[in-house]
Amino acid sequence: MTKPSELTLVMVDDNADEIFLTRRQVRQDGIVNNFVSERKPERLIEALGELSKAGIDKNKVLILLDINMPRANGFEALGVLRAHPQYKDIPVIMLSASDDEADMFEAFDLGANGYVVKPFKSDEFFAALSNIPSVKHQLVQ
Amino acid sequence: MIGIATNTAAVDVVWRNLMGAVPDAVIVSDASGQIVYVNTAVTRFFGYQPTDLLGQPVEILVPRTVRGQHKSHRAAYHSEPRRRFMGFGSDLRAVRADGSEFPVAISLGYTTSPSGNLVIAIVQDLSDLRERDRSIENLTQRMVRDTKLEEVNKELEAFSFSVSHDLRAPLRVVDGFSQVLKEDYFDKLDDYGRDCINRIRTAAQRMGQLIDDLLNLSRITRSDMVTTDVDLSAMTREIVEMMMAAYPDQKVELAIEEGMVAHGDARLLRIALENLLSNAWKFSSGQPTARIEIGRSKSTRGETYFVRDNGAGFDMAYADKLFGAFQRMHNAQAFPGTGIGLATVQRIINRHSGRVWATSEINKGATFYFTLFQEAGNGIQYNPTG
Ligand SMILES: Nc1ncnc2c1ncn2[C@@H]1O[C@H](COP(=O)(O)OP(=O)(O)OP(=O)(O)O)[C@@H](O)[C@H]1O
Ligand SMILES: [Mg+2]
Repeated sequence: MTKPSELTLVMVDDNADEIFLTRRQVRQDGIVNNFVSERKPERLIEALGELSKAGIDKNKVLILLDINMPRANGFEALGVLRAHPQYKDIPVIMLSASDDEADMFEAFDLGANGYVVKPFKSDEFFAALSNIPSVKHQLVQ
Repeated sequence: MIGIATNTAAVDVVWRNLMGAVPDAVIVSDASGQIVYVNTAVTRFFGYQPTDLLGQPVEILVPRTVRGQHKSHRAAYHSEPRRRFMGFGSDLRAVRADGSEFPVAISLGYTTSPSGNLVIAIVQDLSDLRERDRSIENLTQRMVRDTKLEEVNKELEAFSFSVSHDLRAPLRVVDGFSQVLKEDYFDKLDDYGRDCINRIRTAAQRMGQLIDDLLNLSRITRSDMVTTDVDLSAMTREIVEMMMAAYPDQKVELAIEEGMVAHGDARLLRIALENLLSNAWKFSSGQPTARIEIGRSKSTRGETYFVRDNGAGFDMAYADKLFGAFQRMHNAQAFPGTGIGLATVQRIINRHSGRVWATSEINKGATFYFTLFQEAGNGIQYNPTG
């Protein structure tokens, strides 16, 4: 993975350390270079709007959404996104602190496209991305 | 068998026959307190032959400490006789020929006869009743205690689950940022600084392992049980194949008993067997030829399964420690591991209301035994869960 993809990764997580380390990791391992973070899940749609305004194609956006955030649960944010006329098709990978099967099933039921347990290794993340057809072809092997 | 009476005027034949059949001790005394009649049950109760008692004061059957009291009660009773029942609630005791005492309940009756007024005492032996009371009380106490224990365990379980869970995030920061330090600043540090970072990283990773182990352990306790008939022999063969692949260089002689079918949760039992077998393999890896045996023995209390090896063994002084989380008897150089295996086994066996234990001798191998859904030996079945 020498050349990062054109994808923009939007990470939604209330933990600044987590964001810092993940950004570093995905850039270092050449998975994506464009990284945007949002600490408030209820601001997800707004954040996507800002990206659109900045001229970023929503077909090249990928969301990494933390499940366990104190105020709004990540599942809620996923529900809001999937009901949104404009952004409902953006791929979402749920980020969880637990490999609890129940959480995982709920995530897929609610329309998640992938599920990774943190801390994740880059190849795990890459594998999750490769499982999403619309993303796969944008990845640079 | 019929009781003996000296005063035939006072006691007729029908009455004597009747008295012989009464299960309680019947003692008749006259106004002076002398025993004039006893039935046959008296021998069983007090260990006296009827002839030993006739003509004796009734106080012979009363514990020495309360004999004086008894005499004055008796006098009072004769001056105002009425039917009375004394017993269950109060702590009445009687004394046997051999001096031993036992709890009793006594009914008193009063009758006149040609030879004077008579007091009839019917004595019930309460020993069995008291014994039963005690065991019911013990059982009740135990159930209350186990129920509380179970609640506390559940709470503890939930607590340790959430704590372990919450520890992950800060640990990730320690681990992640020490890695950042290492990657970006390693060449700016001297050997001492690098050593410090390496130590932090090793410890953080070890802590991560411990947390994962705890979370897995707690999952064992929290998961739902699905019980079916489980072919432990077949399951053992499958696990053994895995072990053979994992330790290709180890020579192992195997003996697996056929037809071991148990009732239980297949997923959990597999985890238990995997842990016992992996220990058997690991701790016998120093032997030129390891001998590992998996079998069962039957006893009146049900089936006991065992996993036996001829490996390093352990000191029986620590036999009860073995099953605690992170307790290890061997050093990590010789035998790697974190010490979560047997704690996992114990939880699984507990969830099956069984028992797990081990016997061993250093350098002579170890045997781990377990039972599942063991029934209590007596009529009262009581299986605490947890
Ligand atoms: N078959 C055995 N022979 C001798 N000692 C044993 C045997 N099985 C367990 N022990 C002792 O009990 C300890 C605890 O066992 P347990 O399976 O919990 O931990 P472990 O095997 O050391 O690590 P882990 O199972 O977590 O990888 C072991 O470290 C060892 O000292
Ligand atoms: Mg083990």
